[in-house]
Amino acid sequence: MNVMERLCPSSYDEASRMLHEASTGGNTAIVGSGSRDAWFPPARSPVVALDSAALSGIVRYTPADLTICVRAGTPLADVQAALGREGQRLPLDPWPQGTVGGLIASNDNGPLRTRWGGVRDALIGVRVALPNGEVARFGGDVVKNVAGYDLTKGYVGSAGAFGMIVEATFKVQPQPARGTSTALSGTLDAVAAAWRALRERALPFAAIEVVRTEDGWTLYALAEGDGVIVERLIRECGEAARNAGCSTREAGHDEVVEQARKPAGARTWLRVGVPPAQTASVLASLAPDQRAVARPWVGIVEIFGEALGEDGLMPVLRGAVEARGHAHVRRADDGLRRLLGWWRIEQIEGGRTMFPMLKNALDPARRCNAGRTIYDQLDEG
Amino acid sequence: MSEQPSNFIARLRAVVGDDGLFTEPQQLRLYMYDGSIDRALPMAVALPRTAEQVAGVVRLCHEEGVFLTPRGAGTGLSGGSIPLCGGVVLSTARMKAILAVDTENQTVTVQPGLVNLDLTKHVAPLGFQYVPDPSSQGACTIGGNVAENSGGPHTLTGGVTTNHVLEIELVMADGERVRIGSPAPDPPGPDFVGVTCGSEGTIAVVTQILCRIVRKTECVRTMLAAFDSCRAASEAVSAVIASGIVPTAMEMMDHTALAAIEAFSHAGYPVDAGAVLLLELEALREEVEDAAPRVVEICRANGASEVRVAQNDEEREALWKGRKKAFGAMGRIGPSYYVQDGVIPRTRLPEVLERVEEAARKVGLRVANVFHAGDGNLHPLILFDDRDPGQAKRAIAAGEEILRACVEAGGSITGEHGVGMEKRDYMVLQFPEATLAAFTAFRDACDPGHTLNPYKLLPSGLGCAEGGKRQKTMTQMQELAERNAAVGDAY
Repeated sequence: MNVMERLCPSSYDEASRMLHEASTGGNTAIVGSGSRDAWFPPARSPVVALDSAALSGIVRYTPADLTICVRAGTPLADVQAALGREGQRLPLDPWPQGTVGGLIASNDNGPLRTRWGGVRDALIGVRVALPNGEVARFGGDVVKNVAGYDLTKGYVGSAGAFGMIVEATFKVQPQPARGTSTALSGTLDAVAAAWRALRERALPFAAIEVVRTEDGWTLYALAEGDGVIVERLIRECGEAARNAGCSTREAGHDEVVEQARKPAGARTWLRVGVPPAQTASVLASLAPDQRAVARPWVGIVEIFGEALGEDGLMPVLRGAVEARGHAHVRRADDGLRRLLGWWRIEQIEGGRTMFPMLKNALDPARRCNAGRTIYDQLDEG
Repeated sequence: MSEQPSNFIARLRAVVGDDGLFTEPQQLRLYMYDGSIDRALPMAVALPRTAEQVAGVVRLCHEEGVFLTPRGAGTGLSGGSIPLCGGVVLSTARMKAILAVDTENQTVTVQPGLVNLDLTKHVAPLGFQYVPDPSSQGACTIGGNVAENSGGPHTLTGGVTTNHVLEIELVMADGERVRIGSPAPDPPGPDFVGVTCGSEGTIAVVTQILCRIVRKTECVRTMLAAFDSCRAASEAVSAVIASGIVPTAMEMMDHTALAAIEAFSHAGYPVDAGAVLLLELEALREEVEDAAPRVVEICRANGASEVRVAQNDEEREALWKGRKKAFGAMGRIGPSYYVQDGVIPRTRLPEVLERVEEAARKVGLRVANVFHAGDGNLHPLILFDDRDPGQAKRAIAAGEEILRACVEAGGSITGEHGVGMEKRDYMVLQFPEATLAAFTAFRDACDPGHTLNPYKLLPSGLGCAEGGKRQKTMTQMQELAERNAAVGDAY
């Protein structure tokens, strides 16, 4: 990306004015910390970049309301630290680096996605600087709100296509008293039997993660809450493991989080989404050199490795689409990238119709982060 | 309209069939209403049976510039399904099939006219439930729930409709059929399903929905706590949350409401209390057994004179029966009521409830409060006599004052009933001009002729940023309304 100028607005009005001026003259790119920048196609160059670094800090936080409003350039870690001081948390645990704005625009998530949902479920409002020079507010500070179109949701996964998010409000929750995980190991069939048995019993595990290791498969079941609840969930894990023929061990809290973060450090990294019941068949189709972390109750599979080849990855991409799912090639060497592209998706028509409608409303000149989502590539191409 | 009205009706009949079209005045009059206080007569009611027929109706109206108002069961409380400018009402009443149940993926595919409660009843024997449960769930439809992004008493932990819809099939304003969302999690790109939920039938008509269902929770415990005042009950709500316990429901009823509800449903509510809280815990047995005594203790510490815990399903249902039938019970204490739906941050409950009381007192009317205290979603019911136009006016004035108080407290003018036609002019209280301009631009982009559900959701006469363009649209709309009226008269 060829950046002609990098601007750091320090107020919402300044952000909208800068975005307006820059997008009158040419393309603009919205940038946060850059921690997820490589996961998306580059913005159409040359660009004037608007950096959210100076739009940082907490705007409003009343712990008793279980909501927090922060500026979009605030690192997620800072938000969690402020909440932690009041015994609360935002139940989103994606790749820990990066800003709140980047988290929304990339719609990233982590192990807690299983119990608490994704960005769209926690986010209740945004304030955005628009290329027309205005600052608009969508949603609000309250947990129930159906006034007007829910354009807040349009910013989730938008990759900056609809202007610069300058502020966001989230629902938060009490920090659980305890959190620990049980690791169940065995064959893929055995761990799949265990995760299915646990799911059928409607047990409120905070996270269920499957990891492919060198000598087989491990299922991490993260139990959170007061002592009695955690003990009950651990007991249930033991029973499911016995019935499925898995071995078990206590794995504490951090191991599951460390495992979930491994894909982000790899040279090749694909994220696949399928209907949850298809998770096991995606995992069964992996080539021997492909490592994986999966969220089988949700249907997310992250496939990664050092220098994975096209031959092994193409069947994975095809399988995802055939299962009515999708795939996102988050990291690949240039050669592999040329072969695989950025996304595969089961059907594109709905988004192909609706994306331009949002774009016409919010960035009619098509100057903001042009080319960074699957749809504005189509829209403009 | 480019042709004779009778031709238009004939073409509409060709799309939906003889038995899929109502045009007789006595039939049309049934579609003048919803649960709000407004009325308007359509020129025809189409009752398609398939998505192809829906697309046919939408396309025909689009081509001829005839207004189209989608309608589920008509239980809405903001006038969302009133055919304000005449035109065609598209009722989904004949599209109520459950098309597929997938217990492995925990989803159900339904048509939009399916009644909310019928979905839960269908999956209950399999051990599942559909979470959003508006009080009207015995009548309201899933399609209507998507349009309004409906909630219910269990949204505090369960979320609202948008959190339980994975994929939607739509007919866009020009008749194009598309699918948005995915049975797989987090599809790439913006969250189109999220944008569509709550769009009140103004950008598309829903023809099929993939709903998420969840396994029934192991243990449910429902309790009722009586307090001297709403203030004391509100403080108990905050104290429960501060303790780290998040109940699935925390419903409040004030003294006026209690008397009416008890007379109507004999649920055994303490009628001499200043306010009661209906609390529900839903979790693992151990978790409920741990939390329930703590909740009882917190209520007592905050002045509860009585705390009753339902001992079995029968007692639990009795406690809920009163709450769910609360609006209907208001007939016991007044000929009519005007219900508001403002939301505030939970911690502002005591002061805003005082302003609600004051707003009604100022215009000489009574108010009863029945609402979702846990998420700060107020439902003040302003009691008035609709035979007296002066009283209706005063009720509306008090309603506006209440919404003003909600916005000033950092809240919203509507939590689950929608803007519809009733609150469109209050949108300016809540949103800056830039937001309203963006809403208008989105509406224009989806439905340039504003054929779908006209005059809803957006402020009626607002200039917004693009004043000229908007004004032009309004003029066009007036002309169209006149033409629509002419069609109705001619028929």
